[in-house]
Amino acid sequence: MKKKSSNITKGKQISHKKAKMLFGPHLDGELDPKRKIALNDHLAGCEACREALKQEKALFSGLANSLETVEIPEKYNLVDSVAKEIEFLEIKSRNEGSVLGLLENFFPSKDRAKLRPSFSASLSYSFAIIVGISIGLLSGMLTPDASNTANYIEPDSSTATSYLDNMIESVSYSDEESLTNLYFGTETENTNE
Amino acid sequence: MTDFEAMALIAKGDKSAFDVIVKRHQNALINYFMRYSGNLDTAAELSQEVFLRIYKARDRYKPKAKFTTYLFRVAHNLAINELIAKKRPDTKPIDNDEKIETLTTPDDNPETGTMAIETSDTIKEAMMQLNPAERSAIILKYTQGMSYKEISKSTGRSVAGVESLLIRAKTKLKAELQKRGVSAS
Ligand SMILES: [Zn+2]
Repeated sequence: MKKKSSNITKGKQISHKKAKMLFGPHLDGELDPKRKIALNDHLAGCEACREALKQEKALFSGLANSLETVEIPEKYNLVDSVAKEIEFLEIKSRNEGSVLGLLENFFPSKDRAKLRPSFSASLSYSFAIIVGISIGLLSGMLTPDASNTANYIEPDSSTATSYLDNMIESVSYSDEESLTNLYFGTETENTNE
Repeated sequence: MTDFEAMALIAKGDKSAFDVIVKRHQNALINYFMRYSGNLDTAAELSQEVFLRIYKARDRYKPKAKFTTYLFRVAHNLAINELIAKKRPDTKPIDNDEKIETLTTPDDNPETGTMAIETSDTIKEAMMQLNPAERSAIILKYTQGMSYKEISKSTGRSVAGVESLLIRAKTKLKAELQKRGVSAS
């Protein structure tokens, strides 16, 4: 179908399909010299692929432009909120076993962030939530029909209980598992050095 | 102060050095998650989570690779494992949602003034058709401008693996964009 140029080519020409597989790495500047020569040889004799490459280049440089890094608005500045979360972590570790520590187990930093997508008032909200919960627990609001306020940790009493159970589960996940398989454990997977 | 110097100070207990890290890298990180999730609030939330994970693991950090490689390795893992596994932020069970509502201060500023800097809907939709690994690789390439070798270190794949992942991702993306009327010429 495609007309080959009459130029004499050295070695075996790669197919259209193979040539097209090289477009991406070529446009990303990642072709090694050997494959670069193979692609150029093919392109020299194939107008269809030259045209296809031109289109691919236009499409992906357009995409690259629209995915470029942009300046994020100041309201998303994380310096303060991260510092406050760290402060909270330190308080937590100092208060391990105390009432505050216990509450943090039910509402870990991760879930606090999920509860409240805005970052502007991290710590004040955290404390507001904790104070609110404390009051709630003390006045039996989370277990309205239970006579005993200590009921809230019993396995199968109400939906509030299962909610708290979920929270406890997510603590062990976030604090143990995800931390240990962060980065350190998998470094050796990469054999390309 | 270099990233390595800052991390060394943090490991010794100087918390303020972490501000340097956050300030220096937050823009890149939020961009990564914004392209990944399509939402700026989610992006900021996940970026904060990455910084906290790095802080918590400060004692175990070793300056083997570039700090940004490490940063995006943590980010990539969070994106791949957590974001998808937990299907946040939209698909929480309804009863839990109601509980959450009653426990938090209502915060009503839904996406004000963020449209301009978020990705155009067409590209966003096309990107969302990619699987997590493909999407992450495309962003590391085009938003972070990483080489295949750097992407390989941040994703734990071989360089050849990154290349074929990107070829697949781009083929899919091209088809999705064309479906939506975006063409090269
Ligand atoms: Zn051809």
